[in-house]
Amino acid sequence: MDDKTEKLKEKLERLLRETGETAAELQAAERGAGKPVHFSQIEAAAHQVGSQLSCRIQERTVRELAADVPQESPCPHCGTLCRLNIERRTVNSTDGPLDLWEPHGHCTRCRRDFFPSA
Amino acid sequence: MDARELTLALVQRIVYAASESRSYSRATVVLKQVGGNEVSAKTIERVTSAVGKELAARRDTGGVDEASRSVVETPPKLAVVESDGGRIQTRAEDSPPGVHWQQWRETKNACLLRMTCGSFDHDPHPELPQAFCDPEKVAKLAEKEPLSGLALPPEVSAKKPSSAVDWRPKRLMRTCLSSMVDSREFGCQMEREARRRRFFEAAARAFLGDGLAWNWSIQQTHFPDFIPILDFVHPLGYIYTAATIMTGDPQQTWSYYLAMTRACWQGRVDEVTAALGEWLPRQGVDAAHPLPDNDPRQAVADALRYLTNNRERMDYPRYRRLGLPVTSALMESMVKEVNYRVKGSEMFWNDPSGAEAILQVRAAALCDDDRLATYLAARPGCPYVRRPAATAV
Repeated sequence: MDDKTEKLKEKLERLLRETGETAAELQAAERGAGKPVHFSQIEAAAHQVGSQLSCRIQERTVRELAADVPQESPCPHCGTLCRLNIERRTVNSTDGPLDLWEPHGHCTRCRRDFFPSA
Repeated sequence: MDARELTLALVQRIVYAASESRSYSRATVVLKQVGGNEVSAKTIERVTSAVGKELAARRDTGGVDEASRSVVETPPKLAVVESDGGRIQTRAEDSPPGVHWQQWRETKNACLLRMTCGSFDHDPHPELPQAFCDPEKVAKLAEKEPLSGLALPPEVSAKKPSSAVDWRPKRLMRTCLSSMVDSREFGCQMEREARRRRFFEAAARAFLGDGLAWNWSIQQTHFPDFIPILDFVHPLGYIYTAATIMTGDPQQTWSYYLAMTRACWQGRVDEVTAALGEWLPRQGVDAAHPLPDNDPRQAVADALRYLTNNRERMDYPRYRRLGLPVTSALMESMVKEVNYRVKGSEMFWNDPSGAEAILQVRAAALCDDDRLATYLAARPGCPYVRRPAATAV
């Protein structure tokens, strides 16, 4: 494992710890002092934070991948070189909806849209 | 990732929920309560159908490459292939909403089993198993009413555990096939699957089925050096039914059934066919005087014909010495598992593509090699908004 990976892991661990503390504080503030709480409420709220985090990671990773895509790509049907635009679309994941940015092409010859990342 | 609105992981959840639930609407409940995903029944149906069609196309183009398999097998010691028919209700495709041209269609099912294998110097279980000496169980197996007023023999009422060695081979790994295609095409599918699993290199090979003619056509065409074995439960049913016709009172029926079934179990099938063959002429039945279809004595003629046709596949003592299975219980079990998803009084599948798609998904989900999960994890994306229908991928 190189130095950069090691540092990123340490940073992630620190941020997760902070996230956990912040989320617990938020739960307590929303609940109000001295109010009884069932464990299922604690679990559901924690899970929701986890899902939000998962969506953020996925969105960020896909955005980075989209940034590396060339400006042109051949049409998968006829092979004509077509210009690509980066467009947003919403995708459902196991953790909820994601807003993804991905390259989108339009072949004027086939008169058809295509998504080279698929 | 899928070109459209669902991530691969969500598609995997949807397809498994659809495969393991009785209906798409029940799958929505499973997805919501187990996975926390709100997906409509229509979306579940559309995604599952698309995956099923892809699996069918992949199967037909031989697209199941070694690299995509989660389990790479060595040749088994004992390879067992079993096949059987099932039933499914269909409706016409491309019709208006509702059920049009509904009909029952036959499905073809097969399971390919890697099993433990032992061999014995002597028949390890020459006595008829206890399960076949229990009047209630036997009546259930024969799909008949239990004999009324029967005094249970002491050995049955005591239900003593058998002291005989458990010679029966055990299932190690199962893969399943199910399809709407005809037996000729299904035989090719079975052979391809058997080759993938290196069944033709196995030290011992057996093919089990009931009396359906297409079972044995497939065996002779695609598995000629597999030992053909008739599922013992089927002749048992014929014999039981014949015994109820040939004798007057329940005690006599039971004794006659036991004697004939024991003879079959011990490989003395000719004695049974001789007994049946002698009884029919005594009733005035012969080639010149055939029975009408609704005559109860037809059951005896049917039993005689069934045993005669399958005589060569009923050498049960030899199969036991070789450590081979003598019933297709595992096949029957698989058919029930398939039926759980596809067969119901209110279940109608588009014929043929909808029915074929759900059979592909269900059969893949029932395989022990995680082939459905493996396929879904590596499912290629589609560069278009809409996937072309059932492209080979």
